[in-house]
Amino acid sequence: MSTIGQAFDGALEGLRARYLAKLGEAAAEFDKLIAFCDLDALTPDIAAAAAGLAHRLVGSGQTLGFPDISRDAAVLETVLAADPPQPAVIAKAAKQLLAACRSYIQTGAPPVSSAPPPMAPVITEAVEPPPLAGPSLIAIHADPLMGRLLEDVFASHAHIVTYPSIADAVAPAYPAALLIVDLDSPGSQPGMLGDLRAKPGLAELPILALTAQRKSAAVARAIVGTQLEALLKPVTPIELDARANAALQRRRLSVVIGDDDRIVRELLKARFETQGYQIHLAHDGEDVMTLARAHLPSIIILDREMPKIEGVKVLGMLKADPATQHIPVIMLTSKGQAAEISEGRKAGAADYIVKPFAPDQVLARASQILGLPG
Amino acid sequence: MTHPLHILCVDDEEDIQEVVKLCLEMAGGFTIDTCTGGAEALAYLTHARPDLILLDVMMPGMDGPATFSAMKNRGMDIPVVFMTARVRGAEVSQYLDMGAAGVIPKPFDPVSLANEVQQLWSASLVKPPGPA
Repeated sequence: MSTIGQAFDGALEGLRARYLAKLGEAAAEFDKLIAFCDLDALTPDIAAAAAGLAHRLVGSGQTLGFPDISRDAAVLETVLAADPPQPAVIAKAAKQLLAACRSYIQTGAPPVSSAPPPMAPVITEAVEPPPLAGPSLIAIHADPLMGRLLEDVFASHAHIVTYPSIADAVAPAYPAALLIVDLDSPGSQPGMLGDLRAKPGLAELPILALTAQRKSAAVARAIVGTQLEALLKPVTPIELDARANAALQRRRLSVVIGDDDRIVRELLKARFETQGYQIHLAHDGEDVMTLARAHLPSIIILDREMPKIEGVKVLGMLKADPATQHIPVIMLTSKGQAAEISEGRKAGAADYIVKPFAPDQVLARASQILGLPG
Repeated sequence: MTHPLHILCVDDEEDIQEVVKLCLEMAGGFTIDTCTGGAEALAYLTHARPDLILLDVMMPGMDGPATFSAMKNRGMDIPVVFMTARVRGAEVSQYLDMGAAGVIPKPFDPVSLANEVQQLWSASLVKPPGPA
């Protein structure tokens, strides 16, 4: 057997072992479902939750090498869909599935049939990638001429994400540097700027508004309330470039580095400073929260094990706060276990780096996440 | 310039995500990114352009077909392959009519997944995505 085949088998074995533990949790749910059926206390909510669980098991069971789970979960899903529900039938199907779960838990995973034949890596002609160098720019307009102007001015050094109207615009996964909006189209009236500011991730963004409505009271009112700069049409490329650059410079890249180890903090600080980041150092979880809320940094580097509030909890708090939820977080950990990593991913970490690491590696991941060159 | 196939897998279920990632990375040599839901995928797609998207049909919040429609409304033309459990014939033709590049039923065979994805991707180059 080839090395790739062996490595694949080993990794799949790890996933299967973890899946067995999940079957234990699923078994507990089916136990409860049977009890509800026996007591004739089945509610639509309980039935829907059980149907969802069964549906997932249909898809995952055989995929991970537990064919009986897929088969029996399919039966349960079918009987749960019957209208009106028949508790006795549901209980019977649930017992069958429960027995399958328990049997696998007791005897362990059946052996994997065979490893896949190693495939040569697929090499394809590269599709022209979108320009990702430099900061991102959100453009809201429905005007082809405006599109061309923005391309001319920004495409060489910024990544432009375009939405046709204010209603369509969503917060980007990673912070954008500037938003340009055309206020002369029906989908982007000045009165809607408040809605734009209310969207998470867009609240703090510098906005350049373009409009031909020289004396419009609506535009004037909008500008007062929303910290936005207006540019009157027609706008020349030179003028647009100058105004955009001024807005961008006001918003420098910044990073909060949270680690209780002074050496790690200093190493990362030195690397990030070379790239012009503004640095905020935190030595415990509370500090990270305070600094993140105060500075709304471009990115946060977060150690998993920290005093006061530990990393995963800090991550949860950051993601629960509308002000900080858009900030990408790179977690650092000395534990490289799959469960830990997926726990961090689930909590919303943009990436996970296992210690010991090279500071350059952290910087490179941060640049990649922020869509910067290098 | 050449590059290995870059696949986005959108599935709310961690076990499926990881088995897909494992199969495609190790057996196929592809690059895989994962998202756990439709909204996250749309946000991801504002800054990245994978070669192909594997999209779970049943997800909490924005489900697979809704995500696909939103992508098309935004003018994205990346081939999309739906993955779904308990798939029926009518469902498959519905997804293909929507313009999907293919449907992979769950459970799937981890051993042949990479091959299947590569074939669907190759086919999508010849036949552009269906009516928008």
